[in-house]
Amino acid sequence: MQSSRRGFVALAASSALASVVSTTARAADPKEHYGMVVFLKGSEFFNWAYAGFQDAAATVGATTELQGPADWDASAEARAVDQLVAKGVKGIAVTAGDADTLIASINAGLKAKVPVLCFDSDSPKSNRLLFVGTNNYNAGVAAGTAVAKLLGDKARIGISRIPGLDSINHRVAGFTDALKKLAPGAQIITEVNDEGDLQKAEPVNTAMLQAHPEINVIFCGHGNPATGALAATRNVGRDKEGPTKVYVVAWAIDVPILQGVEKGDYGMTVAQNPYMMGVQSFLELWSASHPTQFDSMTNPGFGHVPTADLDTGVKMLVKGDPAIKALMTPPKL
Amino acid sequence: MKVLPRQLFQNVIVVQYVGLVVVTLLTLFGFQATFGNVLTGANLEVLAMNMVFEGIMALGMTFVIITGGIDISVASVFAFAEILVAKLMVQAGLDMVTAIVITLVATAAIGALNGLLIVLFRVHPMIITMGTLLTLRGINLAITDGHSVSGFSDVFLFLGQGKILGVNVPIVFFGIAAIILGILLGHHRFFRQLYFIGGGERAARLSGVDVNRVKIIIYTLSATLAGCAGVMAAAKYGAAHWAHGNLAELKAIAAVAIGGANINGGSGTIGGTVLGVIFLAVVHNAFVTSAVNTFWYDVVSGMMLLIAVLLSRFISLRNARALLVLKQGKMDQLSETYKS
Amino acid sequence: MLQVTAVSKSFFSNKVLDAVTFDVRAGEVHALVGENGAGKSTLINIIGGILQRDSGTIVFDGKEVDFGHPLQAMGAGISVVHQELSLVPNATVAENMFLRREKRTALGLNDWRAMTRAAADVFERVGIDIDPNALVGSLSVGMQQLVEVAKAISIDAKLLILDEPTSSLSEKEIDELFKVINDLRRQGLAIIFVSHKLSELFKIADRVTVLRDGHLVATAETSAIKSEDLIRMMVGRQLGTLYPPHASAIGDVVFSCKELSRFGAVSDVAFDVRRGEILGLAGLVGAGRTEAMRALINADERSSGRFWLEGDEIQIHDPSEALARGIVYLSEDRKGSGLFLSYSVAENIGASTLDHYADRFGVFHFSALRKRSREFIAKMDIRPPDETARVMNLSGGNQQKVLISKALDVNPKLLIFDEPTRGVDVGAKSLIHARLRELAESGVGVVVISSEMPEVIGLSDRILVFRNGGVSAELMNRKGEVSQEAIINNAVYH
Repeated sequence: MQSSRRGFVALAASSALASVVSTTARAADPKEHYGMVVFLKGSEFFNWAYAGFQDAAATVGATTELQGPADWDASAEARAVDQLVAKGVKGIAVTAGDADTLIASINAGLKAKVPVLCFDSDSPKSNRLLFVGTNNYNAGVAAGTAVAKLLGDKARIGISRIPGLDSINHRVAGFTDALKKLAPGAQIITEVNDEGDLQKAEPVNTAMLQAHPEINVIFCGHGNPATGALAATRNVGRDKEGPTKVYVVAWAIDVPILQGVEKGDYGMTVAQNPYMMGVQSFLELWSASHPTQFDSMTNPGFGHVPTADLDTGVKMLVKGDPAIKALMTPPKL
Repeated sequence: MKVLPRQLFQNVIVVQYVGLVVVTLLTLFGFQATFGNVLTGANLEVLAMNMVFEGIMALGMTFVIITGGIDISVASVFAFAEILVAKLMVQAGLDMVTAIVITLVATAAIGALNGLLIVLFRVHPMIITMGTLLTLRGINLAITDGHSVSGFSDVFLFLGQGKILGVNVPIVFFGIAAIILGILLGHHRFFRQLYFIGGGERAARLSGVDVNRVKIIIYTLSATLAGCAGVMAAAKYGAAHWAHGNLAELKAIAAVAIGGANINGGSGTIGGTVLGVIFLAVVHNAFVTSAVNTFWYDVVSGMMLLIAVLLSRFISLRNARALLVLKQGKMDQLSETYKS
Repeated sequence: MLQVTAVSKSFFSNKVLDAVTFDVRAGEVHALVGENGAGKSTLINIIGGILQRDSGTIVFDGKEVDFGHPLQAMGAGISVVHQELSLVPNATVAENMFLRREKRTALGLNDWRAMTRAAADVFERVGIDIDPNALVGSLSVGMQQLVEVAKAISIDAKLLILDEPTSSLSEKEIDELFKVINDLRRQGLAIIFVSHKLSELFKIADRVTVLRDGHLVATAETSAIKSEDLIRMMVGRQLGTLYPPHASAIGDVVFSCKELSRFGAVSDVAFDVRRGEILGLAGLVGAGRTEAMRALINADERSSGRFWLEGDEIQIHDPSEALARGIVYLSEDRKGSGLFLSYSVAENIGASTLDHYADRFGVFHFSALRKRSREFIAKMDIRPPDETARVMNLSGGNQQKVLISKALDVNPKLLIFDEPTRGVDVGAKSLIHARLRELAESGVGVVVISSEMPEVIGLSDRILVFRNGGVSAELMNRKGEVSQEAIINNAVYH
């Protein structure tokens, strides 16, 4: 008896599965289909990117899907790329959770004539068509320019960062160069290592402010330390408007940070543009998969794409910026 | 005296396998009919490669679960093996064979340590292997600073990306390992002892089974298989990274349970596990094929796992009930006989 | 074949075997009988190499032996069939029989055919008809028992020890087993047969040895002895401690129960408990006393049962409902289900009554619990007198006192106490007895399950004897007049 029950349950499960799938999917559709692969699937940032990807696809009547793990596992991304290639999508945009892990899958996709590009996080050693994302040096310049405008030569800066990462090195270089040019009197006092840890950021930044009371700007080199840096300014009683205020320059567009900017807690935040990354990724993939009478210069067999990486730019958001309101309601999947 | 007309256990197992095969084939052909791009060579290859490393871990997990234990450290052993073999070759400059041998010995030692701690301290294997899981994950992060290690020779890459007679090397490895281990589990006296340990550890001890020794060997085997998977994964992805294979232990356990093994020990086969692995791979592929949000994949595999567990619970309740019927019959008979 | 001389064994300071001497001859069935705790299991575990003796000698097959491990005993030709089955349901009969002695093919894999054939040979030799390729799980318990016997003799055993082999067999299966035993005896095996069922001994055994409290009482030819003599030899234990006086006055019925059954364990038990009296439940282990009380509070699902508390019919759906109505069951396994060993004395005493120590806002007042606990510590003489001491650091007797305090804090109407003094020293024993008597005098219904016959007789005013899941006799015991023979008489089948 239990045997037949088992069979029944199994059948029920599979038919339920099939019906779920057939009602939601539109595979018999002759529309062109594109894939995006991310890590930390479900995070706000990549939801923005996918929304841009989807919206851009809709303008030409193409469909899209989002694949990838909900954690940092880049090997799962590699497998997702393989799956999409096997499925025969017209193009794949992937953000590399680990640059090296994705090389083999990206190259295999291109070999199978599927255009693949990277967005947001690059896999530079792979043959990807191009990289679409924030140019870190330029973003650093934007931040440095904004700080120079705010405090001029009086700026005394502490930097909270993870040492050794290329992306952050570029940001800090741009930031420093802009300051040198626009406010030669400003000084970068010191750097602290927050290890990329949300909890670590508070104690190390507090210690930094205590050791160097002249600091009046904390520049966050990446997304994680902002809340900890803000807490540090509270710890030393320098979070209120006035001559002693320490301005925190965040590097994130999470809703809590945006709220903090609106309230005046953070001096400003560096807003990348993931939606634009999605839009541009799609447009380049579309272009790559529709060759014109001349082949791409760098990738024979594919349509034209830029031969240089595509900078989607940043915007420095300060209190009262209308863009904040739009960013406050991130798209859902 | 004759045996009961229905060979209860055999039937249940066979029906479970047939049910699993039917569901798998239905899914496969159903999606092929609807979407048309399932039964292509490229898709089948991707389908298999998507689960092959978890599959290799599931083989070792089958042994562990039959003894009534569990090994949740396999995923971090897997990542550790990736990182170790990569570092030995890229940073220490060792040749490929030496690096692989050292890596496999190291993972075997981790498994032996798991087994040793389990039998020495008589702590639930879940706790011990969770300790190993967390410790190794920390080590993996610490020794790489969170970065990946890459830059392998083509010969090494062959282990993950190459093909033998048109089949990917890791799949060949999985197939051969499944056949050999399946035969051993079915017919070798050492592996047969696993069923006795899982069926009743005390009874097994009284019957002369060296339970501790067997357990240590089984955990060693489980970790070594995870190590083999890790080495091939490093070659497949061309890079070693601490986050690779995250939560693979859950997929491996799910494959074993869906394949009909009782999570409390005493039953399970390699054939069943292979079916469980194929099922999970097919269902996952179905989600990609149909472009349904893959978050639902976890829902479906979770449900299948629950069904499998409920089924084995149902069987054990039935058996307990049968025992009670027997006792009641004996009580009635006894009072009938001695009614004065 | 086997000569055991002056073998002794102690667990901690408790002597469970005291200079026991007996022998078993080839071609005889030698029965070993005794009350609960007489030392039978210890003795056969020593012979089978599972336990090691403290002193004495064992000579087996002409050689002095000293087994450190069951495998050594097996190698020498001693096979033990334990009371609980040791077969694995998911393996075949043949595989179970040849575990660790597998026959192999040239490749080193198991030679299933050879094992099937060998198993069939053994079955033929002992005359049983079982398919060696059947899965053990598909066999009835009786046939599994026969497989155990076949497995035991398949190692070329010279001595076969059967520990209560019939306890889960039907009459027909028992006949089958006896036929096999008779065959084996004819083939010259020595067999030790442990059983509670005296009727069976007279059917199968040549000689019988009686143990009591770890001592040898006598060995006799079964043909020369009567059932009554055996019973007298098995009991005869002296009332060791001084018991409190019996009930001064017995009042009306506090609690009654009818038609209490649990499928497969308890059948149709009915009893009353009156104010002022202690009701004792006697019987052999497995007779259904604990099972009946667990079914009463529905800790194990019962199939039927009606209950009246102070005249009103009540429902008891689960143990917590029983507790809420003032019916407290104290388990025999106090560490497993009675006490929280790593918690303090006070926390244990208040474990069932946490609400009493919380105010109307739900705030828990530990000081109130500590005060209450100090009262119990004084009253029960709990040592050390420290309500913050962890229970695991207390002696067995003091743990038992904590358990009683926990029960009393509920203000029970009916207290059911399973083995109140097991593992408890003499001093604590008397104190527990005295408190139980006080409790009964104060109007609480008290039911005591005890496997120690002197305790049942010394403490109870009325005794229910259990046998085979039901009540076989109700004995009035207002002055301790019931004899141990009377209880055993009703506890066993003659």
